[in-house]
Amino acid sequence: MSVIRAENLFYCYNKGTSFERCGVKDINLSIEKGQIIGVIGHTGSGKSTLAQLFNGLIKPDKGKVLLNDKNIWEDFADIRQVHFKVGLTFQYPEHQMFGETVYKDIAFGPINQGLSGQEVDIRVLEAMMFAKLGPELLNRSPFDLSGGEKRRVAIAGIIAMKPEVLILDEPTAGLDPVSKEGILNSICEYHRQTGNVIIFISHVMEDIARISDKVMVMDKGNLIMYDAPENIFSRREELNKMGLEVPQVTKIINKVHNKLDIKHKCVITVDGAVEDIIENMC
Amino acid sequence: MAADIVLGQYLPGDSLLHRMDPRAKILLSFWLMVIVFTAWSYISLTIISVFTFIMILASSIPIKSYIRNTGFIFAMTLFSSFLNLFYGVGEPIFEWGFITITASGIQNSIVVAARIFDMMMISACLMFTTSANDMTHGLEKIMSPLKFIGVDVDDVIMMITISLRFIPITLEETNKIINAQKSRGADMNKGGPIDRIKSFTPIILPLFASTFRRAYELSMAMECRCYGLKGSRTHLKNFKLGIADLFAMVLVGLIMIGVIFCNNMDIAKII
Repeated sequence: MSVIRAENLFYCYNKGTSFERCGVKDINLSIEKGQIIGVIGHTGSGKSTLAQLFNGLIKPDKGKVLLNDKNIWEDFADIRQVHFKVGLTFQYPEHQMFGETVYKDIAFGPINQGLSGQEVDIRVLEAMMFAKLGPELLNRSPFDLSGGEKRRVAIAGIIAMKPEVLILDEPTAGLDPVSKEGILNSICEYHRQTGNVIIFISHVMEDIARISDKVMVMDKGNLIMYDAPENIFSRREELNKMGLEVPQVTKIINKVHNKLDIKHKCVITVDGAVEDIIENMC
Repeated sequence: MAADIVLGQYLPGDSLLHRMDPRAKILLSFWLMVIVFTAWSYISLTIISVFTFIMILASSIPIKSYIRNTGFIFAMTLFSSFLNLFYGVGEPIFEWGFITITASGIQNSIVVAARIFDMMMISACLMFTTSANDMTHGLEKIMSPLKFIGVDVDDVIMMITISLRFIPITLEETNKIINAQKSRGADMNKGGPIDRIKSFTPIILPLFASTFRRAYELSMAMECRCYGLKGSRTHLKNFKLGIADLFAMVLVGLIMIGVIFCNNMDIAKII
């Protein structure tokens, strides 16, 4: 059963002016339960627009977004519920924090959901656990935290709403390697425990290759490919034309395969590469 | 929403007005507005309105753009001239209950409408044909005599430029923050007035934080390029008064004489 489905989705900016530009054009896709979907595409390819369409922040000009087989725009009054069900973290989410304490910031979503005080407490603590934030941070001001911690607090604020679908728009952009690794691990951990759909937008092909079950490739508002990561990253030339790359490790293994004249097999992760080397070269 | 608001409405082109010296353009536009306010009579107003219309044609910018960009102010103009209709003195032409319309009221409303309309068109003409760079550079040159009384013209101009540049950026940032809080269920249209004010905290606070952050970053970047080091600055483009500017000055001078002359000559004097 599909959790989110898009049918003939169109959305244009600056309609009716000479600046009209289409964010997404005729998108059809379906995301199954329990998947992690990676989204890649050049800047301005419509990734963020698609995320906002799924979340119900913008209304499609044409077409439908179906959440659990129900059109999210069927009833205008319900759109707030859609925001809760499809959690979306924006790029640089730490710039949107406002709470005096970490607790208040994370609790903003659950309180808006209308939960009781006790439930909110539980949600906040759970979310902090997922985001690997110690309880000692609860009463600190979010503005005093480090960059990585701020990002975690912002993501925890979305996780605390217990969304059925979690959309992360470049959650690791501009972070140091350790913080980045920590956030990726948190995402995987969250997925393992809840089994919820995660849509992960990133420019880092290695991260996409590592965690996603399926990858969407967007270009100029169109959905070009939607397939397993191995199949996507074996189409290097097409990706290059769209200003995208394949993971470093894929390039290395491809070159080695070519040199040794081994039948081509697409390797996309470091672990996969290790296995491949042991199998073919030792 | 942010993209709807076009600031610095410069429309590139190569008309006579585009090629004019910005200094002359700014000063003459200002002077024309003064003339508009000295025009009392129908004939004077007609002279200046016709001149404004010629200016619009000379800018070779479609009239559509003028109408689109001044729509709101135009509606305001009609409203204020409509109000003026009822505040005349003298013999009433029309009377109904407490509403009285006099000849002077009608004249008043026409004068108000024509004046505001002309002013709007003159300033639109200036805005459309002068790029933000030329505008600030021109202002800088015009204000440069103030240096002798201790005003730091360079800094004032830099402040104007930066604040203009920050408006669209801040608007975009506001939209982003509103969207982010909305996706966490923030509802700004619910509850009583106090609830509503409170519901803006999640937007105002991050907006302040990000504006300050941006200001710090900008000041750092400016310092890295040695801003504040006083020296004589040169410009890539230096203005030179041309024949077109001279011609425009003579024309505006003639208009001024015409307006003053017709103000006194006119038989149907207003007010």
